[in-house]
Amino acid sequence: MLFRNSQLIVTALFLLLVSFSVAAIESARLQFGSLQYADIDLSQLDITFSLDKNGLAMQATADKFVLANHQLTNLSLQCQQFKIATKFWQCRQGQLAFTHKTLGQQQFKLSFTANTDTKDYQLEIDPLMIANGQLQVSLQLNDNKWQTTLKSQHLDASELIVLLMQLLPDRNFSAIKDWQPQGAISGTADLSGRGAQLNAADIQLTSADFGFSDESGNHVGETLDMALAVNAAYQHDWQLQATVAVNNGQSYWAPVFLDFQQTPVQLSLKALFQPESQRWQLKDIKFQQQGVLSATGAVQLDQKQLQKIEVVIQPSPLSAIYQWWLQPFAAGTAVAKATASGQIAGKLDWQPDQLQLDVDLQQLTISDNAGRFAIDGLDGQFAWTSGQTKMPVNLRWQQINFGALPIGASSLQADVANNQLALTQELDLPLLDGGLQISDFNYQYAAAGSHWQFEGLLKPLSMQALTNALGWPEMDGKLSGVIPRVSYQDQQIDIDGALQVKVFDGTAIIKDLQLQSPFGSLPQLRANIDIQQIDLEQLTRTFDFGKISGRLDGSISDLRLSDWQPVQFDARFATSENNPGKRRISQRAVDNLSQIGGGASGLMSRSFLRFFEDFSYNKLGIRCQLNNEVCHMSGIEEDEQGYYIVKGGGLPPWINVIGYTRRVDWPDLLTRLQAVKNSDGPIIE
Amino acid sequence: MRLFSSFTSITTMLLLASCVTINIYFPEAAAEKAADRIIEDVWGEDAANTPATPSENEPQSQLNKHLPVAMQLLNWLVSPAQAQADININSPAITALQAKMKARHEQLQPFYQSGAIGLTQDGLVTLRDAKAVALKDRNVVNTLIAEENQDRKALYAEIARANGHPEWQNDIQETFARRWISNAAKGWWYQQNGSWQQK
Repeated sequence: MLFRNSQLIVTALFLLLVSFSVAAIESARLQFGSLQYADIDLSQLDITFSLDKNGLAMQATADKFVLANHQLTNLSLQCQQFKIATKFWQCRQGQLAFTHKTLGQQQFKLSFTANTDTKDYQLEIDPLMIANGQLQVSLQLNDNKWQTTLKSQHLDASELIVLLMQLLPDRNFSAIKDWQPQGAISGTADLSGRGAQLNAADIQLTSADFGFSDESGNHVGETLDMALAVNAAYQHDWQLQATVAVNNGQSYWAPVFLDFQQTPVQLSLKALFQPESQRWQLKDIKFQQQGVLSATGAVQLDQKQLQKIEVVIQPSPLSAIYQWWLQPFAAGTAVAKATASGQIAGKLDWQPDQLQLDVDLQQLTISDNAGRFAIDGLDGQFAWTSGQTKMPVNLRWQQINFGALPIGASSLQADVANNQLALTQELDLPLLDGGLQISDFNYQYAAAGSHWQFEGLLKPLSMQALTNALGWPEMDGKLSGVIPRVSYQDQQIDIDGALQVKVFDGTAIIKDLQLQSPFGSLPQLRANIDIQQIDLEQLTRTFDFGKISGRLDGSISDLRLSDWQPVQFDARFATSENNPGKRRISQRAVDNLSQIGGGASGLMSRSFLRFFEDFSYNKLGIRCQLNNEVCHMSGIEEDEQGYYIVKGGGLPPWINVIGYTRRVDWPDLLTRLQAVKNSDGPIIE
Repeated sequence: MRLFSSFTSITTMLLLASCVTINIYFPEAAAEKAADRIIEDVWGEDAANTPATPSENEPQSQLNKHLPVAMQLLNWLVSPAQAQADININSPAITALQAKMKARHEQLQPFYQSGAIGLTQDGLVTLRDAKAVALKDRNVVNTLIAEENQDRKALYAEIARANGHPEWQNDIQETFARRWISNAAKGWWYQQNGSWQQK
């Protein structure tokens, strides 16, 4: 549009001059009150030609000049060297000044040449003062072929958009304006074309303090120092080459934040654009983020829709990739706050509803900052595909930790296909001195929620090792179990079957195990536990509780741990009905039991009883129903006011322990148990 | 005498039966009190201390209209017990969550104040105005919000479970949603009927 206008101005002036066929005289002056030709409207035109030793000079002024709806006022044109001939005229070392409602007051050097015979036109403007900066324009026109060079210095991006919108109201710049560009742009653009068609462009731009933001503020750039080079040529299709380097500033492309000062970015690509099919093919994409990531790739878009993405990531440090590219997506997940090291490389192929991922892992270490899990020395090949062709997964690791539980070096072999991973070989996880054997592990990804399940076998592991690892009082015995099915869905792990703990010469069966959001804010564990034939002597020895002989049965039903702390259960323990055995209880155990019961002891007489080291009893037992931090206590039998915890019987001396407190504060009870454990034994006077 | 005893046992049964009926209803006032206690602890001085307005329309009283007179009488007899129904928030899990949220509040507070984060009408928090957060802090804020919401959801669920009524979770969440907003400090933003309001 601008070009056409310039062309019109040139042609109009030319016609004007020719039609008055000025003769070679020293000075001539022409004045017009009003002049109209085509869509040109001139008023108060005053032209003076003068001839001196340098040749012909021209000076023209006009009050108003209207061309294609653009009105210039206070127009003044001076040409130091003016040449005019039939169908040719030229102005060199000219000066043009005018006022325009959008461009404001302008004054710049102007040179032009017009040859209407050969249809060659040249125009040079130096400089146009626009958008708080300068723009040098050089235009060459031959017939309808044109070439222009634009040199800009510190053009303000936001002002430039406003200016373009005013100058070209029929073009839509709102898409650009919505991004609120700001900052100064400098550079050169060489453009050429034919008619309205742009055929080649060579653009080199730099920007300082460049910024942009969309309406929501979720896609933002700030204080960017960028260098952009684009080379484009049109021949049926557009062929493009572009490089961008960003060395300063920050950007946030939700949820990825990049700091270009810390990690400068360089991007180069080649592109092919087919205007007819609206197809973009980007290839040889090279993305280099210093110290973080080096990737190559290709992208195809049809009608602005992504059709294909190929990315190859060169071996890059996981710590940096995690920090800049992975962690932003992990907010609120188990890996939201972790420390990672090692190297990864990989390849990603994407097409609509088809994904293929192949990643090489080298010596990865990932550990949760909250200490819930850690993996060390992870090596191998990980793959994922939504397609039907199987891809192999081979992983090896030195150690995995779940809380305090260490899983030793092992390896995993699996196949992936159809968004599903299945073991091809039994997975052996060494756990302390035992192990967990996993077979038929199957992980299915689904957008609505992934799920997995496996069959497991817990090979006997010593309670001694387990209790040591967990920091519990050391126990003897073995933990083992056959787990027909462990399944995970909706943040919940269900464990069918039972875990068997052989401990204190008896058995505890843990069943109905259920674990909810194990890595969430409040992990929930539910279980029912059956206890059979526990040897009280071993138990009391382990917990340094005194000495009780006999066998104990019991159950802990509806056990719920919240954040690994018991908050609810119904626990009953009582001496076995079907195993009478020898039943004796020591002085110290009696005292400890009484302490737990809130000191409401049923000692018949301390002064008399202290002469006996132990007593015989008929049965003992206790029940605690924990709810809301309160333990509702009861014993094996009700008394008038209290309940029997120990009921005497057998050979004397025997003893009754009767509890009177029905509601015991759970934290108090724990404190008392702790006190019992730490005490040196009762002092009986 | 025998007649009397069988009468009393029937009464007891009825009483028990009506107790069960009443227990189904969510103890609104107690929940509000519990919510306020937690909110005041988590927000500290930022909590505006707006007293909870007692809910006037207990669902129980609506139900009464359809009950026989005898049952109404029983309900009336039993109602003091119902009024004492408490929401217990003393569990190690709740205390731990509360402590985590209290520690996090220090970091969240400036973003509530600047309007970057607002309180939603379902008792959570959300990014209200991304532009109010410096680019480098965007993901810090996103993580804070994700963690806070995870803890809040866990808190609502745990209070319901700890009180033996997992099905109360939504009621607890609704109560908290109201109380967070009521307790919010001046200048903070909250959602009402889908649009943002400032205290």
